[in-house]
Amino acid sequence: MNDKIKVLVIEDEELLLEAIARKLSNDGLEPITCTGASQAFDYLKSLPETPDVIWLDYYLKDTNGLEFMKLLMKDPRWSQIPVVVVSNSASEEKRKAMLALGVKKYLLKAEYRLEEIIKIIKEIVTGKKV
Amino acid sequence: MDPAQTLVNEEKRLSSLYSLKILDTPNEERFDRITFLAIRIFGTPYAGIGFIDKSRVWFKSMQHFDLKEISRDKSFEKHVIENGEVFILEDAHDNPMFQNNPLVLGGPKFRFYAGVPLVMNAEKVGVLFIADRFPRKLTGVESVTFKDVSAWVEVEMLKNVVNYQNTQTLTEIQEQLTTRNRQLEEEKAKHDAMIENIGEGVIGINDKGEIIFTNKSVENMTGFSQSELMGKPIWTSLKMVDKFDKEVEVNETPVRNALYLNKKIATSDYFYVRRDNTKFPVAMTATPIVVFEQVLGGAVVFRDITKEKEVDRMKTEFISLASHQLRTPLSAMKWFCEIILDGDVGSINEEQKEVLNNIYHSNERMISLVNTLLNISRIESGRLIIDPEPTDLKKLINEVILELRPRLDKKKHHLAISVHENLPAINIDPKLVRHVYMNLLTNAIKYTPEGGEVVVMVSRSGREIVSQISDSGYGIPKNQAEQVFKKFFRAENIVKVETEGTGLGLYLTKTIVESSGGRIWFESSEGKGTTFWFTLPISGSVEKKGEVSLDT
Repeated sequence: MNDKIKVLVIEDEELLLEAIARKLSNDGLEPITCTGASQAFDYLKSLPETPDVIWLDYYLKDTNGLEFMKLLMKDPRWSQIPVVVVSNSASEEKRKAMLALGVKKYLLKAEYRLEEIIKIIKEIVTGKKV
Repeated sequence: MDPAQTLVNEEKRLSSLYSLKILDTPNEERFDRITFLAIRIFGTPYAGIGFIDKSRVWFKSMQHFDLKEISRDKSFEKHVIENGEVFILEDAHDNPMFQNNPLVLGGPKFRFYAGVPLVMNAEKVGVLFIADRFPRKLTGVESVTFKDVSAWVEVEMLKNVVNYQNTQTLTEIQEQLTTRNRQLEEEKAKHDAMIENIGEGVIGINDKGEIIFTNKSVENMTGFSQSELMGKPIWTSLKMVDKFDKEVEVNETPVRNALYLNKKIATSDYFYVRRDNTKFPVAMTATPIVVFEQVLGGAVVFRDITKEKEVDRMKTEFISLASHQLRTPLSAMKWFCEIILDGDVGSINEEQKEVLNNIYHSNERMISLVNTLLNISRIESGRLIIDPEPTDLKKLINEVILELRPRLDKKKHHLAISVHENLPAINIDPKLVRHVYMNLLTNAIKYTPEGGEVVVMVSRSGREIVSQISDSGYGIPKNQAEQVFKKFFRAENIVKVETEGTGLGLYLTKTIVESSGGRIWFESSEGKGTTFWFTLPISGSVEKKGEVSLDT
């Protein structure tokens, strides 16, 4: 067991996933990477510890953020995990729907440096400004 | 007498004669009665009425002698009109001028002849004469009576003119009416053919909203034939629904509003329901028909915009696709650059860092260009959400400035803000208006040389809130002032100074201001600076339930 922040990253673009994982590791966080929702749930079920935070892309190959959140919220073991959406598109409608489902932040991918997203994640997990 | 003048007079005389339209007409009792009376009064066997044509004398009436016309030269009448007053020849045998006249030598063998000119329009056009085989005289009384009788002839001649003019006028009017009628019919046929065959559906209604006309396209599009629709109220016979399939209330239909508000209504928000209960989207205009300030009815013109809607949908799809597909590689580049620049994959030297920074910034430009293009597509699609909420402009401006502070400081600009103290919260979409301040201020900072002055002023003027953003920058060349708000325009003088820029900012800004109910304009002096003003109505922006928002 370590005190590193465990981030479950769900991103269907392999290249982006690689960049995210690299940066998270270098910044002292522990990335758990998956390219789809089903893989993510497999991890959630099998991992010894629940992740501290979920980094979620909205559009996934096997589902979308909305469906993922609904499934996540159903299980009391996971419903408390904070979720940050990092997506390519953020229509008002989607943003509102996701925030209503308990998502902490809805970020537009190209607008943020990884560093900035990690800062936001750390703040959410630790509950204080980094 | 001057021969030329004689000719002119003769022309006038002939024109007066011809205006009677009497030459070569059949005998008429009204004239015959006069000549008959003359022979009874004066006891002569002969009397007649002759008209002096160009080279002949033509007799309208003649008693006891059959003569239709005679050569003017040989006529007695020629002498009557040349003489002027009553002409009396008591005995032709005594007068060498008449001794050998054919009418003296043969035929009726005149010896006595008296003629009085018949005047029309002050011209002597004819003669009333009496004649006898024996010489005789006319007493003074007879002479006067003779003139009276001629006056009667003139009255009859006058009737001719009046009658003719009446018939003439009537005929003319009739002819004009016929021509006009034919023209109208031709025009109507043309219009009917056009209206019948154009692609748009055309429905005419009376002031009660009852259908009085439909063309072929109405039937083609709706499936209802003309005979099915005629006479029925348009609101019930052609069902209209909105995009939620809800039937449009009668007092919300464009047609009803056009009639009752007496103005043209154009909309693309509704669907018509066909005879088979399927529906199709329509773009329609409803126009009141107003004659002498009274609404007599209306015309509805519509077309099926299924294809346009489809293209629209495809465009939206493309935008979302482009946003997704373009942003993924842009994000990847951004993040991998970041990883190298941060030294996460090994240290890099200064030169490498510089090159990578160039890549990073180019990529940032690309991201911003994609964002702007997407915003423009959204605005142009007309589906932008306008979601007004009471907004404190001062707070909004301060937030924008906070974000721009690093850039302001970097260029050592001096910033002055003056916001009207008692500015009410204004009902606008803060996300949209934020764009306007952000864009105008970014421009002011960007296009002003270091150490410049940027001023933001917000004041109230009547029913508007006016925001002013001034700078002491490069200014806009006068000859390019008109293009400032055009898409992709960048002024000559700043292209050299600031290579970065899409030329889309002010276009987007203007579009946002106008969709928020405001106006935008500017003044500029090259080398001295520029001031932009934009207004927002105090009454606020009108809410619009769109489908897309900016920056998403």
